[in-house]
Amino acid sequence: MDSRPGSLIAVEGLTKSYDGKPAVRGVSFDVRPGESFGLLGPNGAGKTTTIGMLACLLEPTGGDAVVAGHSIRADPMAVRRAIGVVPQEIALYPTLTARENLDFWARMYEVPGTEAAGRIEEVLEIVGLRERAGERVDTYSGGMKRRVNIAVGLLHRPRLLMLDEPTVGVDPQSRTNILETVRRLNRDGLTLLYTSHYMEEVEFLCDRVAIMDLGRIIAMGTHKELRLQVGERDLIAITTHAAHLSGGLQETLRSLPGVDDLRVGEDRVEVLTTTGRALLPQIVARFVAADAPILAIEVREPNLESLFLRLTGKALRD
Amino acid sequence: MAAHKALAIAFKDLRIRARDRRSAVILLVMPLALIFILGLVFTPLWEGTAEILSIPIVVVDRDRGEIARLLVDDVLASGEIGPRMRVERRDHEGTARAMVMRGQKAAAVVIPEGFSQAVMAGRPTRLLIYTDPAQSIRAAIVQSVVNRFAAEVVKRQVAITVAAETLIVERVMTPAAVLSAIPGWMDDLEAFVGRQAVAIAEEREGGIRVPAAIDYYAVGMGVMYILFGVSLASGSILVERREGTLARLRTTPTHAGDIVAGKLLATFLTGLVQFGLLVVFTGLFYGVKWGSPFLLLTMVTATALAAAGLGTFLSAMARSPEAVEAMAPAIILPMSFLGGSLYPIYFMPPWLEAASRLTFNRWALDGFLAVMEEGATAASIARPAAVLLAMAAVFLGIGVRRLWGKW
Repeated sequence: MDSRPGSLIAVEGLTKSYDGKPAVRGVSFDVRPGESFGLLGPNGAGKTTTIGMLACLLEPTGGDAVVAGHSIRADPMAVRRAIGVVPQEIALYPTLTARENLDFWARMYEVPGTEAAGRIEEVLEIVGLRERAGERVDTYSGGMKRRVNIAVGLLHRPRLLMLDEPTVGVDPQSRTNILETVRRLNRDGLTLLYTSHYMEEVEFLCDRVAIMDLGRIIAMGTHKELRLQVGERDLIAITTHAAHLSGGLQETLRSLPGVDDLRVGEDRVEVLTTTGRALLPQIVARFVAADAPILAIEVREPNLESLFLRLTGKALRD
Repeated sequence: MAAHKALAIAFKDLRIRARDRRSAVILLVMPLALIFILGLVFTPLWEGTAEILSIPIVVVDRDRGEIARLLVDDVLASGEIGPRMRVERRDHEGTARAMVMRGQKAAAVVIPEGFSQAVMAGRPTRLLIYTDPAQSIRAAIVQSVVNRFAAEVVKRQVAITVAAETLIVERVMTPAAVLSAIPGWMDDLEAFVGRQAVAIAEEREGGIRVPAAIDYYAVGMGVMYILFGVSLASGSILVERREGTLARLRTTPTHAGDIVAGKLLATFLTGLVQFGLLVVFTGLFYGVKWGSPFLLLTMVTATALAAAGLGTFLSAMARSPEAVEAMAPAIILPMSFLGGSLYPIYFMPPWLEAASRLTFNRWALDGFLAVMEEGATAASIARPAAVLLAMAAVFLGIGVRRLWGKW
C-alpha cells in the first residue's frame, strides 16, 4: 500500500483475529509527523493489538500499514529501526541497574558503541533519572520504573514513539511527571501514538484521537471535531433570583452570537453553545447590565468520556 | 543474524544469573555440600568395595600334604590372588570359626587331615568353609576360589581313577606301579593353579575400576546439578515472555534467530561455568583428580551442550517458569537416580545398569570417570561424548522448533 502524503503512519483496513475471533476489525487512520495521536478506548477495545501490529510484534490478519515509509508486512525491520516502543508492561530487567538496562537496549536498537554512553545520559536526563541510574531497577518506585521504560524507547532517537498505556499503576504525581515528559517530547518534534483508557490523559496529550470499541474505530478527530460529530454542546448554567429572569434578559441572552439554545427554569438559565466557556464573559456582562445578581455559575463541557458514553452506551472504564 | 546481539543477550542473561543468590546456592553450594556429605557417607561402602580386593581369611591346614600346600600357598597366599587375600593360619578349627563369627575374617578354610592322600587315592574327601554372612560378597569370592580349585581336583581325580582302573584291568601296570605313579599325574594341577590364578587376576583387571567415593560424587552431583542449572537458565525465556521483555526485544531490530541463539548460548555458558567452578572447587578442596584438562574440557562441553538441549526441551514443553521449576526435579531426580548420579552404578543389578544407559547422567558419568582414569585418551571418551552430542542435537532440535512455534 502507498502511504498517504505527509503521513508518518498510514493504516489501512488493519485486522487481527485470534482463532477466528476478531480483536481488531479493519481500522484505518493516519498520523502526521509531529502530531500526537491518541487511541482511546476501554480495556479490550483493540488498542494494544493495533499498536502491537504497528510495532511489528503481531502479524496482521488483514490490511496493512506504512510506518515511516515502510510496510509493516513487507519490511518490518525497517519499521522497527524507525520507531520506539513503550509497552504497557515494565519491560526491564529488575536485577540490572537502569544504566545496565539502557546499555543492553541500546545494543538491541543498534546504537553505535561510540554513541551509546552519550545517548544513555541523554535519555536519563529526559526522564530525570541521572542521579539514580546506578541503582537496580527493582529498588525503584513504580513511577521511576515507568520513566526508565520510556527512556528505553528513546535511545535510538526514533521518529515515532508508540506508548501503550504508559501510566498504568502509577501514583498521580508520577503520572503527571510522565505526561509532562511525553508532552515535552512531542513539543520537541517527536511524533506520538498514545493509547490509554484514561480520557484525561488523551485530552491532555493528543491533538487527534481515535475512539475504539470492540476492535473498531467508532469516532476520530480533534476534540472539537469529535464533539461536533456527536452533536454534543457545552452548557453554561447561571442561577439568579426568579424575579430577575425577565423576558428582556432572556432575549438579550438568546441574541448573543454562539448561543444555540436557551432553557429557562424558575431561578436558573441554561445556555447551550458550541463555543464553550469563551461565551461566559458576555453572558455575565448581560446579567450585570440587567442588574440580575448571579448566585452560581456552572459550566459543563462534554468530554471524551461523555462522548464515549453517548456512542456506545457504556462508560470508558466498563 | 548479528553475532554481537546474540552475545549481548547471552552476557545479559549471565549477569542476571550471577546476581541471583538463590540460583548460586542451588547451582554451586548445594552440589558442593552434597558431594561432601555423600562422599563422607558412602566412603565406608566404597572402602567395602575396595576391601573385596583384600579379603581377610583364616586357614586351618590339618593335612599338611601336597594338595593342601597347593591350595594354601599357591592359590590363596601367593601369585595373583595372594595380594588380594590376607591369609592367616591357625591350628585349631574352633579358633578359626570364632574369628569368622566375630567378623574378624570373611571366611575360614579348613583342610581336614588326610585330604591330600584321599585326593591322590581317589577317595571322597571334603574341604570346610565357614563364612561371615555380614561379609557376603567377600565370603562368596573365597568360596568361589576354593570351589574352582575343588572342581579341578575332582576332575583330575575322576580321570586318574578311570586311568588307573583301565591300566590295572588291562594289565598294563600292576596296582603297586599305578599307586606310585599317581602323584606325578597330579603334577599338572600345579600348572592349573597357575593358570587359575592368572584367570582370576585377569577377571579382576578387566572389571570396573572403582574411583574414590568423593571423586564419584563430584562427577555424579556435577552432572545432576548441571541439569538443574541449565533447566533454570533455559526457563529464563519464559520469564522474559511473562515480564514482557521478550515482546519488547521483538519490537527492536533484532532477528528472532539472534534472540534464540543468545538464550541458548547463555544456557550453555551457565552449564559450562557451573561445571567449571565445580571442577575447580572439588579439585582444590576435596582433592578430586579430574584428569587431562583437554579431555575434561571436551566432556564438560559435551555435557553442557546436552544439558542445554534438555533444558531447552523442558522450557519448550512448559508454559511458565514455575512449570519448568516443577517439571525439572520430576524429570532430573529419577533420571539422576537411574543414571548413577545418586546411586552408584557399581552397585546396580545388571538390568538397572543396562537401563541407566538410557539416561543423560550415565553417559556423562562414563565420560568423566574415563577422563579420571590414568592413561585416558580421546578414544576413552569418544563414545560418551558422541552420545551426549547426539542427545544435544535431538533435544535442541525439538526444543528450538517448539519454542519457535510458540513465538
